[in-house]
Amino acid sequence: MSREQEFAEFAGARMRPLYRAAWLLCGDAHRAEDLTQETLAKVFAHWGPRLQNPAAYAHTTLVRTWISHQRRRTHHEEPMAALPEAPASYDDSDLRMVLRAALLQLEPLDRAVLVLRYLDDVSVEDVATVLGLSSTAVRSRAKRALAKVRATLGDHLPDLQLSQESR
Amino acid sequence: MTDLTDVLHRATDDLAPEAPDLLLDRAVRRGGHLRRRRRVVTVSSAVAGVAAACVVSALTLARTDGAVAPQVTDPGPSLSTPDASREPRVTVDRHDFGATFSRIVPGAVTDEHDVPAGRVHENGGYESTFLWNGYRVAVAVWPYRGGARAVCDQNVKGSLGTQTCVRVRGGWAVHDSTMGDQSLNRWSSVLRDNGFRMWVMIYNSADEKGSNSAGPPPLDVRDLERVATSPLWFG
Repeated sequence: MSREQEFAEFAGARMRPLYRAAWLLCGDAHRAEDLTQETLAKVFAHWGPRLQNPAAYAHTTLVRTWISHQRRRTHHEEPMAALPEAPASYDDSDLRMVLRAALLQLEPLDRAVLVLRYLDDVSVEDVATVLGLSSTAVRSRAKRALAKVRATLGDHLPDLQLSQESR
Repeated sequence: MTDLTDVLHRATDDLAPEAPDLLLDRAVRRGGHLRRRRRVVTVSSAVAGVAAACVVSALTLARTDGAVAPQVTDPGPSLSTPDASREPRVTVDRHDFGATFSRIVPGAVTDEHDVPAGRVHENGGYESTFLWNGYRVAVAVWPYRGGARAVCDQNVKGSLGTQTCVRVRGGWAVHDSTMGDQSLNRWSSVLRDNGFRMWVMIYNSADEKGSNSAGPPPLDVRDLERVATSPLWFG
């Protein structure tokens, strides 16, 4: 199997999870596609036997690329006072829209912490490595972010339970 | 009991990129470019290092015996010179994609340009974008290796059952069950038996990514498939 075929197989299997994480970070389908594409391009650029855990590498690359974009951007997203456009038909579920609103209220690093911890199930120590933070800082950010998300989701999801970090 | 992990998964489970195969193709092209650029930088640095060492040695030699002087030699062809053999082998000129599209689906074509602008795809493919009756259209063609059916099956594997391969005129088309009458952007992807993949997409506005607030575009998947399977592209 050629290098490109191997990569295509990997990308086919990992594209959706990457896209889901990208969507939660970006809050927007188009930017999520761009971020997923850029992430896969970077992974392909390093593709080879030396890449021992490509799935983990891809998720790290995705989050770091997104954070780097946030630092470079001259205009940041506005907090969710109103949605910029009517939601597309395929992503207009209440849950998704409320979740999007909740995540967009968070600072980029807090959003990244939540996505890595709770979508990708990455350990606190690994989140700290990916984001260049201490474990304490990750716990503290997770606690703060969860409290904000809980405040937004509370009415919609009264049964949302907070995890260990928030207690 | 619901925890945040469950909420995140529930909220995003049915999300997927609109055109995974084009996304993958673009990622591979971009990744290949990044890889070559990295290699060029590495080689350039090594060459610069060796050159600097040679100059230092030569200067040292010149200083010691006066007989050897440092020389500037021809650096040779640039590593980033495009390979002419990678030009697309389709018979339609790369600037006539819009015109060819409108021969199959009549309409006014404007604002045509390459994607990315001015660059032929590294692997011998090509992508063009233009406005058709005011709607953004993208047409990409690139070669693939292997049998059309096998490559198609491989491609739909990651779609969690939403995509299937269907035999069409001159190839195998990827059919996506989630793309219907209300889809805002529509595409057709066909692995032609001649070793080329054709990818055609229409957005529901003039924007590169379409609009979330406009209705569906005027062409349906059958129209796009007619473009993707047309013999006009290959003579």
